[in-house]
Amino acid sequence: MNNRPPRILLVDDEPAVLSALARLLHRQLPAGPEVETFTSPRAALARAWEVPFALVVSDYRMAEMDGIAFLKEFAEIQPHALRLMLSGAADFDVLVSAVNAVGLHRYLIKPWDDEEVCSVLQGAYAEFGRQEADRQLALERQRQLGQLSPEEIERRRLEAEEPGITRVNWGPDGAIHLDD
Amino acid sequence: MHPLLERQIRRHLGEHPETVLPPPGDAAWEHLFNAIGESYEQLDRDLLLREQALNLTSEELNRRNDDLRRELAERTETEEALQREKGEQAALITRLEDAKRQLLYSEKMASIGQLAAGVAHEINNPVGFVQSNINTLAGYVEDLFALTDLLEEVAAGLPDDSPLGRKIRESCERYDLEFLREDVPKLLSESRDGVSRVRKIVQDLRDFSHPDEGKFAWIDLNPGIVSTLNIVNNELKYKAEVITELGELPLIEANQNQLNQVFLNLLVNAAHAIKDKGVINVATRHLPESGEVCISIADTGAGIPPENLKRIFDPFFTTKPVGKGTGLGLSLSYGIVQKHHGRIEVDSQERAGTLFQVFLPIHQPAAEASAAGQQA
Ligand SMILES: Nc1ncnc2c1ncn2[C@@H]1O[C@H](COP(=O)(O)OP(=O)(O)OP(=O)(O)O)[C@@H](O)[C@H]1O
Ligand SMILES: [Mg+2]
Repeated sequence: MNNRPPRILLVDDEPAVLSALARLLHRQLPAGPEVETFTSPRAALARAWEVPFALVVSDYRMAEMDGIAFLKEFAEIQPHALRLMLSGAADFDVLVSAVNAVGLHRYLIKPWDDEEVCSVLQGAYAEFGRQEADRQLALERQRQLGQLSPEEIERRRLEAEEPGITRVNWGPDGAIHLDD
Repeated sequence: MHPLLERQIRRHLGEHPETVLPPPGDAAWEHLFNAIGESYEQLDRDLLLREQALNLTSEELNRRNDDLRRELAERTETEEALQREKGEQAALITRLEDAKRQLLYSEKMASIGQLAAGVAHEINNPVGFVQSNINTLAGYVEDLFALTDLLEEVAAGLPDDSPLGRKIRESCERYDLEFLREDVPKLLSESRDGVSRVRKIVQDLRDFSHPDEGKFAWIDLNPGIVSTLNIVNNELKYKAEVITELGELPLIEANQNQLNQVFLNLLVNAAHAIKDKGVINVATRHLPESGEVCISIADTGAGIPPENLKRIFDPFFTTKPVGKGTGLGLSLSYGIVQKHHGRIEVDSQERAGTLFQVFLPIHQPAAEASAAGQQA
């Protein structure tokens, strides 16, 4: 679709958690996707408007906003990215509401098992690749059948490169307003 | 002679009857006999009257007696009713006390649970990245050692008088490469072990503070005791050598979390009783004859003075300074053991130590048994 491979987004308000995970992924999956880390969910959301991600992994308990609210907003920007949660609160209420509210792909608990995290992320990344290929195939078929106007094709291309670009109004303060 | 008879004789037979008696057939005799007859009749009548009077009195007495008896019965009945009421009141008070204890217990557990959940979350973050970093570091170090291997190989291939070769050999010695190679894996594994212990404590704390209220299941007590020992190990290890003699136990019908709470309280108390250094002996054994298991926790601590022995199970009885003891540990434990239809026995000798023994039946009475059945 484009020359930049979709990245993995890690969000946790504890910087040391992020660097440990980034280290782990860098070492265990050296040929894997690029990893971006954010301690601020808001900054992560802003970044989500700029580049596409294959996976987003969020902590649950964060000062700025909780992981469910974050993943919900993230899903509105990039609905196709698979959402995962990595949380210290192995609280089943949280788990259930996360699964229900944001269509969670996987739930991982802290302290995590390195191997498990790697294999889950690898699996999720492959899953994202399959889903993306299916979407491309469907798009191609529609194009061949002449069901898509040239404008629509261009809109989707832009959307793939810069998520949300076709749906967004920028507020005067730089805040983002979705037009539903 | 009866004076009345004498008077009648005089009246009818004259003033001197011993000298002059009227002739037989004289009317005087007849009068005298009539008078005597009449007196007898009068006497009979009097006797009859008296008898009747006596009968009446006796009847009255009987009636009174009956009344008294009835009254007495009523009194005893009231007394019994009072006694019964008193017993009921005592039972009610016990129930109220139990309820209060239970309430305090659940309040305490709820706050421990909240605390544990919060602490667990806070601790799991650092534990998560430290654990992961240690793994990554182990990989890094392995790579570095591969590099030094290569370096040593290069040095070995250089001629003896090569300055570079000498420099490499010298550096390896200066940094004590041999020792590093030996020690780094040890250091890493000890650190890994430490982190996993922290992780375990947090896990135990969390399990511990979620007593699934009142649920009975078939459980093996020994692992619960081991996990409780893990939790309190920090409190124990500086003060006491802990000796465990865990015998083979049958599964018993019980609530694991609640019993862990009991063991925790007894262990912490034992540790508190030891001033500097002592021994805590934890033993479990099966008592097949009575269908029970026994968990004993013995310490070589300060002991309990006889005057306190009666009060240690009272809620809020504590000899510990404010902040150190709330005096709830034993009363909660007592309540839990009672709920298991078991008993706690204490044996204490001042300045020598204390032995707490918890006896628990293997089977619970029918009601709880069905609960365990559903669990299994
Ligand atoms: N093993 C023991 N050796 C000596 N004294 C003991 C022992 N166990 C209990 N006691 C005495 O019994 C008292 C009551 O114990 P309990 O566990 O109910 O409360 P606590 O330990 O004082 O406080 P808490 O357990 O609520 O923190 C203690 O304060 C202590 O005086
Ligand atoms: Mg105590």
